[in-house]
Formats: sequence, C-alpha cells, structure tokens
Amino acid sequence: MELADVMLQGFAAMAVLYFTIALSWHPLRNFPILLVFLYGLTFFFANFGPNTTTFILPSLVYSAECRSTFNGISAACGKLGALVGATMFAPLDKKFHEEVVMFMCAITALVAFAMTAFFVRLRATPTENPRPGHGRYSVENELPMNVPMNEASA
Amino acid sequence: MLASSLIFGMVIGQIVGGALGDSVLGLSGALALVMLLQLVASIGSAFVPAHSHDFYWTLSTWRFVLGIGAGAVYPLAACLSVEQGHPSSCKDHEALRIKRVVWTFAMQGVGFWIVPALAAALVYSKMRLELVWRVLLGAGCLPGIALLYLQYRVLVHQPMTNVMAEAMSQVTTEEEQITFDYDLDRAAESSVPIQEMAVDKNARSNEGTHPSASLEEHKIDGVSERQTSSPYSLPRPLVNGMPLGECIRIRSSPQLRAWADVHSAQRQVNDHIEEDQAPGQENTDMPDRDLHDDSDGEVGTFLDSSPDLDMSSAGIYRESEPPVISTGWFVSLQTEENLFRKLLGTAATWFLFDVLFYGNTLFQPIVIEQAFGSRKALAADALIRRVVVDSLVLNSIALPGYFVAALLIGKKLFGVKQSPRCKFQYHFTVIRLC
Repeated sequence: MELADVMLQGFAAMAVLYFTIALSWHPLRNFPILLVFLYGLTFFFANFGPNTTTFILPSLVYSAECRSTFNGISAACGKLGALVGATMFAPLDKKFHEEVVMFMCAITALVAFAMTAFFVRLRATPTENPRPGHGRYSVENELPMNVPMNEASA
Repeated sequence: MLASSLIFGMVIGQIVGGALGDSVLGLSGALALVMLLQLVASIGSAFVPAHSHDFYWTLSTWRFVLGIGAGAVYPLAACLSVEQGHPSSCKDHEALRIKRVVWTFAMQGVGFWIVPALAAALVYSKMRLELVWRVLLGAGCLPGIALLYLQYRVLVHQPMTNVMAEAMSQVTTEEEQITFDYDLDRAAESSVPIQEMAVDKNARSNEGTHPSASLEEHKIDGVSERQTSSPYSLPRPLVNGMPLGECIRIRSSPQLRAWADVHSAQRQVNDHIEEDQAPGQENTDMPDRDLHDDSDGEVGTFLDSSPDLDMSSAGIYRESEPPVISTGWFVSLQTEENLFRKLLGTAATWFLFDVLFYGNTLFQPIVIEQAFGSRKALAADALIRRVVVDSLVLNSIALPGYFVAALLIGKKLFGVKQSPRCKFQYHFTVIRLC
C-alpha cells in the first residue's frame, strides 16, 4: 500500500468512527463493549494510518542534508498539536458535551484528510530509481524535480 | 504540569535533536548523545526525593529533560532507519527503506503497550505505590542502556551514517564493492550476462600489467598508446583505474572532484611503477594507457574530456549513486524545494493528527466512564487499577494497527530480505515513556 493511501484511509476511518460515536453516544451507553470497541478502533486506525505515516513522511520528503532537521520540526509541530489537544479537550467537554467533542474530532480528521489529499502526493512510480533525498518521493509533484530530463520524459 | 513539562521538553528536543542529526555529529552520534541524556533523566526522575516541598518541581524538571531526550529520538530514529544499510542502487532499496522506518515505528507501538502492561503487573503485585512509579520511571533507562550498547557495536562497523560521510567512506574503502554492485545493475539494465561483465572486469584490472590480445599499441612520437578493442570497452566501467560509477559521482561534486584529481594522479603514478616493473612490457617510454582519453594532454582531466564517459553517463546516471552535492546544512535549509507545501504536508497534518491522538488519549477515561459507569464510588487503589486496566484494553485494540500498517505498507516487498541492522529498530521502544 502506498503511504499516502494509508494516511488517507486512516483519517477517513477515524472521521467515520468519530461521527458514529458522536451520533450514537447515548444509545451506546447500553452497549458498553461496543463503545469501547469503536473507540479502540479509532486508535487502531490512528496507528494503521496517520500515526505511522506522519512519522515516516518527513524522512522521505526532504533532501538528505536537512532531512533530520525538518523531520524534527515536523515532529515538534506534532507535539504542539498534542499540547493543544491535551489542553482543549477537558474545557470543551465541560462546556459542551462528549458528543460535541467527538463531533469536533470528526471535523478535525476531515480537515486532516483534505490536507493530506492536497499536499501529500507521495506516490512511488515503479519505473524510477530511488535517489535518497531527491528521490521519486515528493510531497509536491507527481514527478520529482531533480530527475534528469531524459528520465522525466520517459 | 507533569505531562506538559514532558511535552515542552519534547518539542525542544525534536527541533534541536533534528538539527543535531544533520550536524557533524551525524545521526548515530546525535542519537547516542540524546540517549545518554534520556538515561540520566530517567534515573534522575526515579530517585527524586519524596516528601520534599518542591517535589513536583524537581520531578517536572527531570521530565522536561527526559522529554528533550525522547523528543530528539523521533527524527533521529526515523532518519537513521531510512539511511542505514548499504545505499546501493538495488531496485528494492527505496521500498526496503520505507519498510524499515515502518517497523521502527511499530516498535514504538510495542513500547506504548508495554507501559500499561508493566503498570498493571506492578499495581496488581501489591507493591507499595511509591515504589511502583519509581520502578516505572526508572525502567525508562533500560532501553537507553540497551541502545547505547547495540549502537556501540554497530558503530564499530559503521562509524558514519550520514549520507555524505557514507558516500565518502565508500569511495575510499569500498571501491570493489561499488564496482560490483554497479556492474550488476548495468547487467540487469542492458541484459549483458553478469559473468561477461565479471570477465570484462578482470580483463580490465589485468590490462595494466599484461598487454593482452585485446590491446593494440600505437607509437606516436615515441609515446605508446594502447586502445582497447574489447566489445565491452564502451562504456568502460573503469576510467583511469576508477570505477565509472565513482567517476560519475565525482563529476557531480566539486569537492569530490578535487579529491579525485589527486586520487587519479596517485593511481597513475602507481601504474607507472607497476608497468615499469612488469617484465612483459615492450614499450616503457610512457606507458600511460589513459593518455588517449585526454584531448588536452593533461593528466587527470579525464573527468571533463572523455567522450565515451559522457555518452554512457546519460544512460547510467540514474543507476548510479545519488550525486552528493554538499551545500552545507544552512544553505540546504533555504534551498529546499517547495518547502512550504512540504511542511504543510508533513508538519500541519502531524499537528492535526496529534490534536486528535493525544486529546483522545486523555479523553479515554471519560469514554470508559460512559461505557462502564462512574468511577467516583471506587476507592483510591481500585481507581488506579481501573485506569491501568482500561488503558491496557484500549491499547491492546490499538496495537495491531502498527503491525497492520507495517505489513501492508511493505506488502509489495515480501521476499525482500530484512537488513541485519534492523536490530536498531528495537531501540525505538525507548519512546515508550512519552
């Protein structure tokens, strides 16, 4: 499976699951096992999806000289997100209800899905040969910029 | 307070650690450094004196330091799994690299699962609660110790994992290996049987000392010139005694080019000595077999004046090693292509994802409460047990996600051998204390 596909399906599945939990929050009270299972599935698809791919992406996208640096910056952005998530959830839960929090999760997952679709065009094209750092992987282009002309036209 | 000090530490650690990985330390050096930091911090946090009035401050400070160490491991471990191993141009290499990173990450999942599992075991062992959290915090140093030991062993074999350093060390120490890899690749491309390539290679390596039937000699103004009429002489993987792949790499980098001039000059001196001493030589006036390559007659300028090299390089360029263009770290930060969109792709999505992921991790108790009723009635020790078991249950559902990802992302690659160095991946369990 392509990395970008894994990422997309992960966000999509999370969005669907959050929506499901948000819409059926009260009925699910009678089926505790089902609720825990659905909620556990959101973590499953987080791992089989963005949790893994966000970790891998930066190490493939940037060129070798600054790969580690931008990887660190991306990871730091992730941790800032973690901080936001950790501080926002409790107040939101108090102010609104759990359903609303779950609904917001679904919206966030959808936004992330859209961003992935727009900005991550990570596709491996089988004919091209790897060139680490400038390789066939590119967030931006279907064809990497640095490939020699004869290869790009092939 | 405790949790946020760890996260703040990680943010700083990731930025600093990532930059360190691109510095002179290299990825391995930087990793060793931050693991040391992590080791000290986890031991420190386990032995924080209890009952002192600034207990939480001390513990938070240690968690902050631990966060720096743990955060720095993220970019370093990812890049190391991508770059480790022989960067030969074999076809599955790119795929193999991804697979390695995925498995590295799956190890983090194992780490995340171990924490509640270990916590559950300790909580149910009727140990004193204070001892429990001290053991849990102190256990964080174990992967650090394991990693430093393993890394030491790996480092003995491969001191530099930086891409630049790797290319350099290969140029100097693994010439034969490169030539061979390169021959294999070319054989695959042009469907020339490998044996022939090997024979060809032997012939070439012999031609310095034994003028064979495939060599013609011409005398022009007392200068002996030999031309190869072997069918394999175009393109010639050895140019001036150097593998062609090496030459191409050298062509692309000014620094290496300067080095190559010196190198080839040395080689030619060696050739002179060898050929002077060879008994089978008929013409010893000036037995420089490469002179005809140089239209301008200069020694060591084959790089810019060899027509057949240019011809062959077009087709071979993508099969060769990536051109190593050393622009320096800071310049590379500024010249990175499509940087903004790349950052949107990697950093912004990561931000959004972690809002969800960590927010929900903290949200777990609320959902569990919804499912199984309020816990307010429970006594303190029973409450702790519930929390530990609940998170263990959720993590057990989540853990397979890592492995499904690892298996499916690598799905096309079954049959590809794992690098023996994938041991490194287990080191990543270290992030488990996050």
